[in-house]
Amino acid sequence: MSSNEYVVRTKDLCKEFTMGETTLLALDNVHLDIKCGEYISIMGPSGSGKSTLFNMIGGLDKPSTGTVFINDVDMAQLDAQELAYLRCRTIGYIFQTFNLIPVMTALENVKLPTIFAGMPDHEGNERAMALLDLVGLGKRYHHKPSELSGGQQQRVAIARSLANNPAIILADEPTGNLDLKTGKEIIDLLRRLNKDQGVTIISATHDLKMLDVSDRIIWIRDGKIDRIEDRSDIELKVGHLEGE
Amino acid sequence: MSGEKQKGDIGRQVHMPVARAFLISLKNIKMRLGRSVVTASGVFLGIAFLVSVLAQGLVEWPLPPKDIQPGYARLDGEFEGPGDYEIWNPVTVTEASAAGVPDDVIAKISGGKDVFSLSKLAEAMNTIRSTESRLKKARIHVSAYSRILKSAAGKKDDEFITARVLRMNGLPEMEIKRIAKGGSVIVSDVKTASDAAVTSVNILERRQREFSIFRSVPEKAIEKLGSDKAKTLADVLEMTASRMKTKDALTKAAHKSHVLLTNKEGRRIAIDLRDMKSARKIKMVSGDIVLANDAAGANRQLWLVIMSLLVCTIGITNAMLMAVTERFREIGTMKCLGALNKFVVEMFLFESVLLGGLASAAGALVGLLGTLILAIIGKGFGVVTQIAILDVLKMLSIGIAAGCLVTVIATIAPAIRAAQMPPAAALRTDV
Repeated sequence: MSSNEYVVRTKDLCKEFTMGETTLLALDNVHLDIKCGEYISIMGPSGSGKSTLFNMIGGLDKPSTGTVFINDVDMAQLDAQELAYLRCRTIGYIFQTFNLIPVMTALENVKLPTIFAGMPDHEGNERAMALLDLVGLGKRYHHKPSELSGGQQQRVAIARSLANNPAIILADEPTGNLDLKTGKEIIDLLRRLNKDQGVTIISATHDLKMLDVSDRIIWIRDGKIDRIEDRSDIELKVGHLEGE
Repeated sequence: MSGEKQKGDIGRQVHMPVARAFLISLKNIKMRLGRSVVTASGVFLGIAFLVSVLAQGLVEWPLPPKDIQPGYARLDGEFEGPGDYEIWNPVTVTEASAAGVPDDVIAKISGGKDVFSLSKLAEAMNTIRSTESRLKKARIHVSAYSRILKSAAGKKDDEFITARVLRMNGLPEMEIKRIAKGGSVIVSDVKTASDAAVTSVNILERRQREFSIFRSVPEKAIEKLGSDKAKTLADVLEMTASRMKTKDALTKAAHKSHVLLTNKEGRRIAIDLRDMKSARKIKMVSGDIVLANDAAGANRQLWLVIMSLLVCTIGITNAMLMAVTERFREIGTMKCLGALNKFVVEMFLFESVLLGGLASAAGALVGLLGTLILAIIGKGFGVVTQIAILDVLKMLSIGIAAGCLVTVIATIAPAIRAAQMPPAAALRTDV
């Protein structure tokens, strides 16, 4: 898969939402090419269409028109089983609200995608333990989400997104519900995974701390791509807001 | 679109083995035990209510009478209160003779007339049968007493005789209990009892001689005549009407009654008297009891069944709908992680079958037991003994099947809807 230059491409991507009589154009002709191994931040104010773009790329919703290619495969062509395969093994998801299964322990949450991938039980356990160690929660494996702090829950969610070695991690405002310091830790963790494991990270955010680590920043406004900046272009210096 | 790959290099997600999905469902129930219990109690209460109402039908049957004469049926309820009615039409001498009743018996029972009452004949046959069995017992007592008195010869009247001595001389336990009356037995007690036994042997022997000719009547002859000459239920009901003051009482009664007919042999018929035709087809059998209930009561019962069905359906649907809706986000998350729709539906199917099955089984049992206990308190333990086990099983399975069905439908329908939503929509739902 790493031989493909572009891991995600979108073409003429549009998404309309109909609310009663009014039609809202959430995405308007979005063209986007994301290279393998990039750290991308999708920036924009609330309601700009970040999350909608996130859902389209992740195959969580269907575009009104246009196409999304993952590894050069048109997502619209996939049937339910292939889409599930893609969600299970190619993409890892991280959400603002963590979306852990509340009744399951950290270990069971991380193990869940391996069960869907058909991995035998003991292998899944080993894999989940290794991932929890990776995100620094090896000792908290038997805790339920309610017994973990927000930052810890998000780290469990990151471990879960890595369960089946995905090529892409999609993160929808991963630091949105966290304080500054914890947010910084999560960003650092994502950056580390991006560098060490070569995972492409696409993160919708309005957290300026993200700018510092991103390879490219895509600014979205009113459903359109406003501008795309390489990090080297940005002069903006993000101060060290440690939030202590 | 040159250079774009075809979808060939995307694999297809494998279906999870059913056994693994089942284990996950089990674990799910265990993990959310508190919530599961709350949800299950909705099902439990609904089914307990439904079965309580249905079980009323089990305990409303009258108890078969024990003290009824052959050839009679008992009527109770709306018509006239309890009363015994003869259910055999009179038999002619020729019919009886043809059926195999000996001529001397006919002559004795008919008193020279052309027709006679079959129930009198049956009663006389009963008398000779019971007389002979009582005579047998009384003779045993007489001989036992004479042995006891012989062994106690020389004792004074107020000396004690031990139970061991009574038993050794062959006096039956029942008789020992009777004469001892919980205390001890003295010689004079035995003398009195012995005299009484001798007297009753004499009386019984006299009666045996008097009725001995009825021993020769073949059992089959009575059976045949009884079924040939049986009145129908309608006939019997008409007799009760003629006993009433107004002529059209039957019509009136018939139009507001529903009738339960049962007997010791376990025959059970429930008919609505608005339909007298069926009452004309039912032949009465000796020992039947007919309970006429107010038709309004029957309608009320039907209304209760309908209402309880509605209440239980809506209650269960409410509980299950809530339990699934609050897990929409979970369903969305699982689909993000690679779950197939089939797995989501399977998981909820297993959970609802397990939960619904257990809860409705418990509910059906509690509903049934509650009704039975109340009936026992009200009418005595006899109510239970006359209930057919098959009816009970039928009722329990109706309750459990209804509970499972409603639970599964109420769970699966929203689960399918959630599974078919785009995951983004399922993740957005808030409860």
